Amino acid sequence: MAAEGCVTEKRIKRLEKRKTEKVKRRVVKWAAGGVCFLAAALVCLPLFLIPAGAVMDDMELRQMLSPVMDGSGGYAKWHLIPLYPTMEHYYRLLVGSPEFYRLFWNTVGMTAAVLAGQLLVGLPSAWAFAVFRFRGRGVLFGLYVVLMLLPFQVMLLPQYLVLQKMGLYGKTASVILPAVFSAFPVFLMYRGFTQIERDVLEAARLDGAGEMQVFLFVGMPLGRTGIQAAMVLGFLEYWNLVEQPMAFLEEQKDWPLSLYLPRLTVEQAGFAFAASVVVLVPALFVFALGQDALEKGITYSVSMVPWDGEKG
Amino acid sequence: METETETMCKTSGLLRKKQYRYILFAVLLILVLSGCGSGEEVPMGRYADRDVQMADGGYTYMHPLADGGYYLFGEDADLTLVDAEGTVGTEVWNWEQNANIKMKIAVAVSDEGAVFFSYRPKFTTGEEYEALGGDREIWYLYYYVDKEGARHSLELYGADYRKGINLEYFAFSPENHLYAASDSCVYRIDVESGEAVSLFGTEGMVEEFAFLGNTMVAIDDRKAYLYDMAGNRLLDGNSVIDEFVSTHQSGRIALAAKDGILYFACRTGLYRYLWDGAVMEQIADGRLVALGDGQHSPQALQALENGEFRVYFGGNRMTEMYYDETLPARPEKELVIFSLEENGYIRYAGQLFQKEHPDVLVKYETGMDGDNAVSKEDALKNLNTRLLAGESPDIIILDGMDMEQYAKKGVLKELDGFLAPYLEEDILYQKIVEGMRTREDGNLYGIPMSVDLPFWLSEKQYLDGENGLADLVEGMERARADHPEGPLLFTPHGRDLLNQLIPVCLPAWTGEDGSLETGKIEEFYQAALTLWELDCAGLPGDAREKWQENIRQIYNPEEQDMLGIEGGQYVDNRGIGETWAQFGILDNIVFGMSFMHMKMFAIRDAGGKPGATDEVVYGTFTGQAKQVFRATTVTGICSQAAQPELAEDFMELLLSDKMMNKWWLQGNLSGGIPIRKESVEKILDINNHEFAEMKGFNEKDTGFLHDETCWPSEEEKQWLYGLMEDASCCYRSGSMLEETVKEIGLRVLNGEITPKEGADMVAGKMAIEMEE
Amino acid sequence: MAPGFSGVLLFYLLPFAETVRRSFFQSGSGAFAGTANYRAVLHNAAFLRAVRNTVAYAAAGVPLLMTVSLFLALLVRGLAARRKLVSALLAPMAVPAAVMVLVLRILADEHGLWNGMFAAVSERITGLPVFTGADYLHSDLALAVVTGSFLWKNTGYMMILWLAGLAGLPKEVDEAAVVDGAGRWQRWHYVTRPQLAGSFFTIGMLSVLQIFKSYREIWMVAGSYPQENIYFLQHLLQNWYLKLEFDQMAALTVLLSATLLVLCLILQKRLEPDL
Repeated sequence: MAAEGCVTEKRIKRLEKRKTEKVKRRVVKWAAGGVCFLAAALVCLPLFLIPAGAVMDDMELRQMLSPVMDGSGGYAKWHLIPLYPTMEHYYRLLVGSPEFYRLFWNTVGMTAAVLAGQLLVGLPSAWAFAVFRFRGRGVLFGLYVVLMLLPFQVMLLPQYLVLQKMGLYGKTASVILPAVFSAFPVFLMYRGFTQIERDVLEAARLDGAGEMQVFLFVGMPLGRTGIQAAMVLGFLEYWNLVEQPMAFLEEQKDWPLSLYLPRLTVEQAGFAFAASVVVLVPALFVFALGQDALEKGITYSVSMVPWDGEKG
Repeated sequence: METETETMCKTSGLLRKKQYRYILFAVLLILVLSGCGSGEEVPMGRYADRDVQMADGGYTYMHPLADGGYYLFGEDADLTLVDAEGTVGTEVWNWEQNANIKMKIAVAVSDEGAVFFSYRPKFTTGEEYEALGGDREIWYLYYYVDKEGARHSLELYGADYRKGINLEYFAFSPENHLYAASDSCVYRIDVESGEAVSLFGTEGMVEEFAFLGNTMVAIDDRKAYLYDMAGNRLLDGNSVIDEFVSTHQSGRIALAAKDGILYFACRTGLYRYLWDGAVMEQIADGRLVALGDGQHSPQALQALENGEFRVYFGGNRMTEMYYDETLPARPEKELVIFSLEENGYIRYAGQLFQKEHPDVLVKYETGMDGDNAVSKEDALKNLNTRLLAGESPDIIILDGMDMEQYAKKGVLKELDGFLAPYLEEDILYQKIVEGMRTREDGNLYGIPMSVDLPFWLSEKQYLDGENGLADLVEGMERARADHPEGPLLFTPHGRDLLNQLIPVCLPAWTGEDGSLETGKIEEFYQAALTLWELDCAGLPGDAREKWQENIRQIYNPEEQDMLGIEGGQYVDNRGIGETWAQFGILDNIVFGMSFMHMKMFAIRDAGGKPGATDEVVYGTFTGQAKQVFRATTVTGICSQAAQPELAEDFMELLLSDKMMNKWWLQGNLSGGIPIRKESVEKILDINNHEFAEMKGFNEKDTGFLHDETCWPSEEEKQWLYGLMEDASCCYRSGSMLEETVKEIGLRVLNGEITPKEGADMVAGKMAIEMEE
Repeated sequence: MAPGFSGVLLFYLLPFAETVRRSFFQSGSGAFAGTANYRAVLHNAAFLRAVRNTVAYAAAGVPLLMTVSLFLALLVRGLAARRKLVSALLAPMAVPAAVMVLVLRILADEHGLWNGMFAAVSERITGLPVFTGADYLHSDLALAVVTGSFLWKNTGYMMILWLAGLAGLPKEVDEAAVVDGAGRWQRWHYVTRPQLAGSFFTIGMLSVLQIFKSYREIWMVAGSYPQENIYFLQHLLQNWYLKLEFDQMAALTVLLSATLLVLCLILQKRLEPDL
């Protein structure tokens, strides 16, 4: 009789413990969610100015922002809801500026070309760094990193000289080619590849796969997260690229969108906001796509590392 | 421990690497070498042009005829036919008898001599004004004169047409049908009945028509529309023309159709397109002919039997392009001119030089063109890249750049030798030239083509005999005591006050050795603050904001530094009585002085300003520096210039009487006072009617302008000459010191910081710059 | 590997070599200058100021960024709304620099929205218009503002990388730890963290890269000569370029690269035993 009672007691205790565990889990989850949500809100809040400002007309913007513009007394204010909403900025941008479309496609083309090139060239380099052990690997990698870090100001002149000699100056290739060979994607993809376990590769080789096949069928799928990170972040980088096109592209008709926006005085705020909304849309689109892909990697990790003890 | 596979891979990888590397090296070498081309034979033959002397009259429109003659028509002119031989015949119409025409807007003439145009009528009553759109937009009315001369105003109607759709461009087809374009549609108009039938919609505004057989070609700024006139339907587009049109959007494109070939004339040159072909061929480079003149767009193009082309630019400008075998197809030599922003004087000089030197290609490059993301620093970075790479322009316009720094780095060539004859023979104003010497080594590296003089206008009792900031402040204090209400100066924003005072104070802020005189800056801030407080005392807060709002319609304070003296409100009809002193610049001698003269006269004549008790005077301005001039279009020659002799020739042209006397005729009104003495005298000569002629003023207006009531008197002229002779202290706008002082100055004027604190802050900011 | 390397050689190493060469010559006259440029740079007051500021900026910004983004990454993993949250945090990266600058000005200007809000709030509390906000970007708080906006822009960016890094960790070790009864903190400290060493290196380097890249926005907001605490190496480089002082620029670049290379190699040794 006593034994039974003991067992039940223990069981009850365990059940209770599990319940509190469950509640604890819930609370922690909500807390985590709360913090993240707060962070996201904080980050996004200033950004809400943009679509809001895009539909306000110049008069209203001037009214709200004149203290910032003229340095006159008082403080800037912001109307949460536009008083006189207008589509004039969008109109001016999308209908009234024919060059906008041309530049938009320039940007798309340039970004696509750069990303494609980076895949073609950077992937093998990253793979080589990750998998092959050759002499001087460390130093070479370090060199790659340092070159990546150098600000463009210092590279401007020498790269200009090289591009001139090659006859590329003024052509879109002068922006695309150096970008293709940038160390940035190599860096990220390398990270992805190092996470693949040696054993998997070994197994593939033992199964008779040649190096190329190991790369294509084992390495690439497993190193997916690194590649995707490189692509998504690379996209963001080159979509808004300003310095190189300004320095190397002469003709306005070749420019990407980032150079189209007028020198931004607060006077042009409405137009600038509208333009940036339009520029943001494709980026968000890419996020969505990229997220999908990254998602797989992340679910993988969630199931791997349980947030709380599964078995009590 | 490596496995076999790994070792194998490593070796083969390395090998492959080596091979690749060699291959790539080879490729690189080839690329590099191919860059150095070998000499080629020079191809000969290209188009040049000659000016056409046009008949007198204020023309705005030309209609080419198939036989080589053409019609001319315009605002004040009657229909003029110039036939193939060049004989001129005019029809006389008595416009006074006719309709209420205030201004003709767009015109079309048919091959037979019928005329159709849109116009704005004179309004006699308010109802009429309202009836035609009123304040929102003025609607056009239309008028038709047939080939016999019978005329009537035409009221248009149609299924897709309603009053208020303004038709902006017209053309008659060879079959004498009238076509018209609004900003979204093209219509055919029946001139008898007035019916407007819409034919097709357009994305932009069609600005040119051409007729090729049964096909009408209409182009807007994005594409071409092809319409079958016989079959009455829209045809498929033409991608070759679309591509051309959308990439040549600056300036207008004029079309001419002849023998199955469509010709395009625009700023970049003359092109020919064989109908339905795949290629648009350039037959003349715009830069080498008048087409490249950025200030005038081709309005009409005519292809002549003998292979020549006639181009009409509006007004009295027409040129004929002919093929000259003796000229090289592409000039071997290049003269490269660089400036940060577009400069009309240089642009015009470039074209003149090009005409005189057909064997040289004049390339005028601007660092910043248009309103886009390229800032001044970015443009300078690009320039410096080229300089550091060894590619230097020949001539450089130093406006907006730090001349001292570029001279120090050896970019600029020393000009003392070149300018010696000019100085010896007293051709230029000596002290102005001397004022341009650099602090570092006392040499000349750049000279301005024109200067502005800072000025004030006020009542005699307040500012006459003004001699420095203290006098200014004191005079304004007295003015305020007399007139407690209203503003004192024409400075709606604090920024304006700073803009107006800085030119006469900035030169004093840098000491002999280049160091910063903080004390003077403090003095400046103090004076500015006092003046601002005085001004605000009479027009505070809301009232001031209202004023600012009104002003915004005249000018944008962010874009303007100083106001031209005749743009101010002091003597404007609207503003009489509003301000008691005005600072500005004298930046256009004819209009500046004649307007000023005119207005002084009007004021004195009308018994003075309401409330004015004393004579109104004007004079130059002394702040902390005196006899200041603002140098503009400062030009220098680069030491690494590829064509130093050509560069010197160009400079000579810039400084010649030809340019200095006439450049502003090209429509650039506020460009300052030329530094060549004889030119100034010629411009101010009351009998010199060139400007009026060029602008197409009629006799009445010319007479009005060149009358003693408007024109500066001899006394005033001598006074101006004296000022120019005395001006010796150079002020150049756009320096970093100026920007800093303005930025911090705004905070001083707001009362946030004291003048001393402001001066210290300026010193602090400049300190880093000096350290670099 | 080979084509990649050749490209890097051509577009980066070759230009770099040219820079090194130019550092030994004078830019104006082209005369050989030996180490004169290096000495000039090292004694230049503006240079010392810029170095001090840049190091301060990096020393504050990089660790903060890495910690905050890692923290958020860990939190976000277990959440259902993670996709949207990550997108939201990544959004500032997609905004063109010019617009970001505009927003920053509207917020942080002396007469901007923040001060306006603070003033309104303080007025409501105390009943008096007591609060006069500082002109953040022109005061000593400038570095804080700049660091803040650095975090704002880049948190999402680093978060994605942390997530990718975490995703690649082998699960067995962690599961084994769970079975052994390790608590959450212990699991983190002894299992997860060491394995993240590689990610640490990557994200660290990229954060430094972002520090350098943030120059454009700072320049657009505060100009070429900003408040003394936010005058960084890139400002110096750009201003020297505008003054045609390329020889000094080149010397500075060489010094900078050498320092970075050494740093990088040291970190590599510690964090990436593979290399």
